Amino acid sequence: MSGRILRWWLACWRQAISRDLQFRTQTLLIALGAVVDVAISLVPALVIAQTARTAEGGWDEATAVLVVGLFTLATALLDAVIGPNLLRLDSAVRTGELDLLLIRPIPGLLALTLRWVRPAELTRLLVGAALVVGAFATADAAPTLGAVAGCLLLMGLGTVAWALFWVNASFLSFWWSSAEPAQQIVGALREAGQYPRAAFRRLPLLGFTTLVPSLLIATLPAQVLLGGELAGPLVGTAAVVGLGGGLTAVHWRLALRRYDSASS
Amino acid sequence: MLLATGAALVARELTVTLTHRAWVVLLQLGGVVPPVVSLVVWTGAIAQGATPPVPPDRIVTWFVLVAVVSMVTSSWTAAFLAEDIRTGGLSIWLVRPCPALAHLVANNVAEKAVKIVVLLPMVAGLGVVFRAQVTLPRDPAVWLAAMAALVCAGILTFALDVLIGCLAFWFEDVEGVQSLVLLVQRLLSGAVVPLMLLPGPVQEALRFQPFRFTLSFPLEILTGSGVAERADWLAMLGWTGAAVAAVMLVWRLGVRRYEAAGA
Repeated sequence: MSGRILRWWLACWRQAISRDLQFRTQTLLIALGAVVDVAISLVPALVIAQTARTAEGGWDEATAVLVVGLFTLATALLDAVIGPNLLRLDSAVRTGELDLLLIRPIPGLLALTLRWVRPAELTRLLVGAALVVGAFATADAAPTLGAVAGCLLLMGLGTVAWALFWVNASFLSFWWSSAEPAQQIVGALREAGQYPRAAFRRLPLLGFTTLVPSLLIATLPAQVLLGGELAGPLVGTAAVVGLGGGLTAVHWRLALRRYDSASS
Repeated sequence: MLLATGAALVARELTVTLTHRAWVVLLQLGGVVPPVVSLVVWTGAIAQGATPPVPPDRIVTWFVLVAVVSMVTSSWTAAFLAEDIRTGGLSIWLVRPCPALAHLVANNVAEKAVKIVVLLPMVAGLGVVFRAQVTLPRDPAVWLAAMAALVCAGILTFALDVLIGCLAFWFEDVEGVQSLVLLVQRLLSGAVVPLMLLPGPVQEALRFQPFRFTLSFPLEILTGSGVAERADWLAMLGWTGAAVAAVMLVWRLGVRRYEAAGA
């Protein structure tokens, strides 16, 4: 079963890459737009970092750039793999196009979330990596191997936690026929994840690490990379992923029951 | 005659918008969330000792009001106009006894009328939460100046949007240009970060560029710079006039070139 899923997903990637090669200008514009978008998202983080440089909480431009860099890495993956599918979900549910995914010989939820990929978004991986390296070069510091491993582990879990939140928010389309703007709300909430921990008071911190887990994408992993504690955030993030996974499974089952397909 | 046609078009657009009530509510919620996130971040940073270059009250007031100003001055016409030009949908508006862009203006006005009704209670709620730090102007002259700036900003944004849509007379796909302009506009209008928080020389460099007048300028008036300097008003009127004149010229040239089915 897992071999079949892997072959199917590789075929999806092959198809996406050939499509991108066919519409080269469009692909180039998407890649360029993605890079400009990263540059723009650096501005608010840097402006806040400049005003907060002397704050007792302690953060500086290098930390701000590091968080934006990690955020860029994680969101590049999300926008290349999960995003194109969830952005289509509303229309797929309304028009009954979802039928075509449900009848495939692979689990419906996987087909729904992984069918479409946008390789051009991966350009941001390069920009994100450059920002992370640049942040450490500016601070004239280097992370330990353990910190890098801990950060990657936490970031992986945090990205999964956010993906689950995004999937559940997108499932509103099953319950509400005008749920398309929900994507705009999800996108705006995700932006909170590009600021350092010092920018959040206790209550927003709790909300953005549990119900709307945007700080798990990059903010907490950045702290670990800078030498912060790993165990607490790791247990918390794993709990959010576990709960989110259970909730998503139940939500998917209920949503399918509700779905009036084109052929029903 | 023109007034009656305009009223009929606005009424039609109002009916269409009101059939999508849930969509409008979610859309406005989507407009309020970004400033809420910014408010959480900025108030958090200030609470931890950050020292912004302007009084914190002014930043909070900015983020509370930005959703309303952004909605009132917004335009979403370019994509629809470009599609009409590409597919020939424009033809039916060219033969009607009213300006061909009238339905787009009507759509803009009617949708905003519905959106403002939904948006104002949300923003008022936000204002109540941050009431201790929201400072609204008390001088009626400032409100009048802000209203005038809002109207001008709305016209300027709409004209720039129509100009992008008109590119479809010459190019098949204008989506790339539209996305790029949108990105630049987000930064230069103050939507990403208030221009008043940027370093002094950067603020000065951005002072007279057109995007400032599509969002930042009305907000600057409302949040404390009082009635702005004459040079700013002249620049805004100049950009608005130039954009409207450019639309008239480009439209005339474009329609001559238009070759869709039935043209």
